[in-house]
Amino acid sequence: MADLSFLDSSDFALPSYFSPKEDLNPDFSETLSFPTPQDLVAKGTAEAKKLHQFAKGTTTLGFVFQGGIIIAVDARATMGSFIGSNKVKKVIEINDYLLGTMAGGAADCFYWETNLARVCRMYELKNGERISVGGAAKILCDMVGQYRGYGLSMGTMIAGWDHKGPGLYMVDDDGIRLKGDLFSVGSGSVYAYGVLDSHYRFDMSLDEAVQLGRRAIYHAGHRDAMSGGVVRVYHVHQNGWTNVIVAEDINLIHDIHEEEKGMKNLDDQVTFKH
Amino acid sequence: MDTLFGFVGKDYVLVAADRAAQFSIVKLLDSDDKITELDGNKLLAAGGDTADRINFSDLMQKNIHLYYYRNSVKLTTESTANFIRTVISENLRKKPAFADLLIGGIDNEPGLYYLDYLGVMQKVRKAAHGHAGHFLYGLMDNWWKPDLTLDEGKEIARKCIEQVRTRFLINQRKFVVKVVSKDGITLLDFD
Repeated sequence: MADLSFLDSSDFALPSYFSPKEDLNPDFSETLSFPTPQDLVAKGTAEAKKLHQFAKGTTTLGFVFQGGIIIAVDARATMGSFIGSNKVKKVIEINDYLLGTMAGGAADCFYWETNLARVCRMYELKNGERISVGGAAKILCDMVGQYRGYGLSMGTMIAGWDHKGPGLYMVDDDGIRLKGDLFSVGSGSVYAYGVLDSHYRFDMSLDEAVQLGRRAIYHAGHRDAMSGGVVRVYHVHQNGWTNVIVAEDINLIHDIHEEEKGMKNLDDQVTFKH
Repeated sequence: MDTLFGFVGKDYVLVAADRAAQFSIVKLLDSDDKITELDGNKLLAAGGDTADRINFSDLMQKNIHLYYYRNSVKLTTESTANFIRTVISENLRKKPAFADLLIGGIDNEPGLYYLDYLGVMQKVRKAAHGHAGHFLYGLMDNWWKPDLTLDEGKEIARKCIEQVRTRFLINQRKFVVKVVSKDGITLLDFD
């Protein structure tokens, strides 16, 4: 995954070989006797990053449509360039009506989402009613927000159906909590967005929506080294959730795709024949 | 990278913000409302780090409302701005939040306060935050005059939004524009 830390600095438009500290006026913080907030947060994050070399190597996506919510995920777990597994379950079944996806550190996601399941159950027992999706997302956001700068890596989507209808929230280890109709999280998300944005319509049928989720994960798994394995698709509806596609191999989808486009015998050439 | 701008009119304050919620190189949402409403008569626009601006403005909104529930009095714009500034400076060397703010409200006179993440506060007539804000200062200085009517203010806001769309490298097409006056808060349609 490319190093995107340049986006955090105030002069992100400068090329990477240009080092403002030496070439331009001294950095603002050098003139101050105390560290700026950016320094403090950068220091903490840098230290945390050294401890835990996580990148969110995965592709997960979710979108709301007329029939509910579709959640689609890949199944690859990587540690650097080593593929640990191609069959990981990246959708955590929090309870009968809430699903959480996993992107980032597997342990972080699994632990905090299972903890969320426990808190949601306590809420049900204490209040005699199910917790709302937004409430569950807020609880998760606040739990991980306390550990901000400590190196947690978790980019998850909480999807469920409550009294307000379908709800899809994106919760991140930075403390971001956003409600939306379409999200994709992970290193392969950029590839999935292209496919999703091309075909997404709110009034899709269930079949179209499932195929869209499956297709977007396939494209992301094909292009992103850290995504792949099998596609899993879930459908969240009024009566809970259903696992629509349990495990469909991305390589097999690729073969079908090539067949459809008549590309089976096309190769990529490195040099041209004269 | 969030663009915020605002200015004071004859009997109103106009505050605007872009609608993109940013996460790394991805635009997560096209419909994010970055202007929180305090007490129904003040506006708090926040820009900067996505998590910090949402959490900080929610925290300030709830604290302002708590003050009202406890004391049955709505804070003036000046008191609100000073309260928020105190929170920012107290946390600056403990748990800083990267959020630049614009606070607009109307007591007897309309007032706009510029507040940045370091705790710099100033009562101003026009202000902007973000990279695109640099384009807008010259524009606002050129067109702003004292005692602007609402129509003149809408025209200036429209010019500012067009300028961001034309000149800023990052695609920020959609904006949310809110006006606070003695009648309350109005959402203007600028698409």
